[in-house]
Amino acid sequence: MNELTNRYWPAVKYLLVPYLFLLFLLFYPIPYEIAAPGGLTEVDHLVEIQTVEQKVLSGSFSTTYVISIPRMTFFQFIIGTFSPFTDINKLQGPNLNYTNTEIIQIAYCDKATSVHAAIIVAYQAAQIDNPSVQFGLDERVLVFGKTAGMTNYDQVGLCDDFVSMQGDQGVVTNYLEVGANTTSGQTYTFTFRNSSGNEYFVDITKNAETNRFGLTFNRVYFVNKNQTFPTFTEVPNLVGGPSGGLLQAMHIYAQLIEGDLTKGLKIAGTGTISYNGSVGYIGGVKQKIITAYYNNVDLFFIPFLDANYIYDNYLEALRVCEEFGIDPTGWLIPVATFQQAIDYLESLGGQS
Amino acid sequence: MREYIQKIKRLKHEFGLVGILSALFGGFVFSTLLFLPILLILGSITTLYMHILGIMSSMIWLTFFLYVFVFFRLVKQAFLLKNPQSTVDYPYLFKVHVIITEIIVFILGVIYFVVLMPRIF
Repeated sequence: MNELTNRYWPAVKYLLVPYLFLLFLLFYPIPYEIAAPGGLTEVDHLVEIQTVEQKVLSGSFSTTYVISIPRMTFFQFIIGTFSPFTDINKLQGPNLNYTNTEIIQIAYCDKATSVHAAIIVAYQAAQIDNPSVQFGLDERVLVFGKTAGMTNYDQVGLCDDFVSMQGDQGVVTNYLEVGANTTSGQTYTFTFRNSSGNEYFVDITKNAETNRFGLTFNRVYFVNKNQTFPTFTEVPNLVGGPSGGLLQAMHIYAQLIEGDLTKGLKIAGTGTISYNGSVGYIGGVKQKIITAYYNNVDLFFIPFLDANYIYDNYLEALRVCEEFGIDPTGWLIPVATFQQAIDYLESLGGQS
Repeated sequence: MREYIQKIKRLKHEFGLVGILSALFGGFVFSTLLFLPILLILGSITTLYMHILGIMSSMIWLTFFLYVFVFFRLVKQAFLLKNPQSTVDYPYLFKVHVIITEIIVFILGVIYFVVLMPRIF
């Protein structure tokens, strides 16, 4: 060690300042977020359906993810500026108050609820032709957001279940009745359940100025595995967010019905899914189109809900295709509902 | 194998365990100082170019090959600086260690490309 230090110290001492400056550029986070092209994740790797005979599709369904870095480093800012595929924006909205860990937690929470929404939509659709398909539902109310000024902020976990609250007129279990059973400026005890199933209590004050507790709840439905046939397994994955809902539902549906819905095609797309099968808008259209293009997908499904809305995902995708010289003909498929996407695939010829 | 063990024994005899560990530690520190920013730069670029993840991963893989080579090169230099009149067969030991470690890096890379990359991303 000493010999090498003696040998290289003259050079090292001159490089020390630039070296530390480079590390500063590589590590120091700035309040900007960046969206960059990501990749495809085959839904096979996200949800496994345990059918009696394991079905093998000739093609594949993939969700499309983009890279979103809430607080990028100076170096990423510099590199991102030179890339035509990235979008850089100043961090704003709720994300400004959240730590990167909290943003990731919310993304995973979104992902989990979107997988269950996809299962519900797919199982409902498959039941029409296949009565053996069954599923039960559990209604849950999850913590989807916290505001910076709320009391005992760190004690409430994102994505934990709201169980009840000790209100003015007794115990409240319906989250919609929380407001009517509480008084501004007073403190109330909330009961939550964490992901391990343990309940915990947190005292939260209703802000006298805003007349709010600072919590955002979301009512969601999860599939009850004990009442579901065929059963399924969610495979842990690093990708978060709700934008894979449509493609997840299509893959699960393809597993449950007879025939091969993929027709041997590499199918990708994006779009959230609602319990009624309607498709919702997503962000990062430019990055998703570039990702799909680089991955040579055969079909790309994208939400198309309003032809008069300039930021409609499909219209935005057409502009991206024009900007980068990509021909969208026969490749970019606009859909508003899950059923439209299924109808499109069923209308295709080829192997089934 | 016998030749290798004999040469390692010769190395231990000349420098002792502390001397060998000191050379290895020096090689590790200086090669890491050199390659840490390179790997961090490549990692940062990769996060923004995930659509060409295969190419970026290959570059990181190649950097690891180079890192191993430089590490053993620095270890060898440390021994030579400790004792310029040493009779240890450094070229032989350097070659054997580099080849074995590069094979391990190669196998780890193949596992990443074939198993981990498709599952994680």
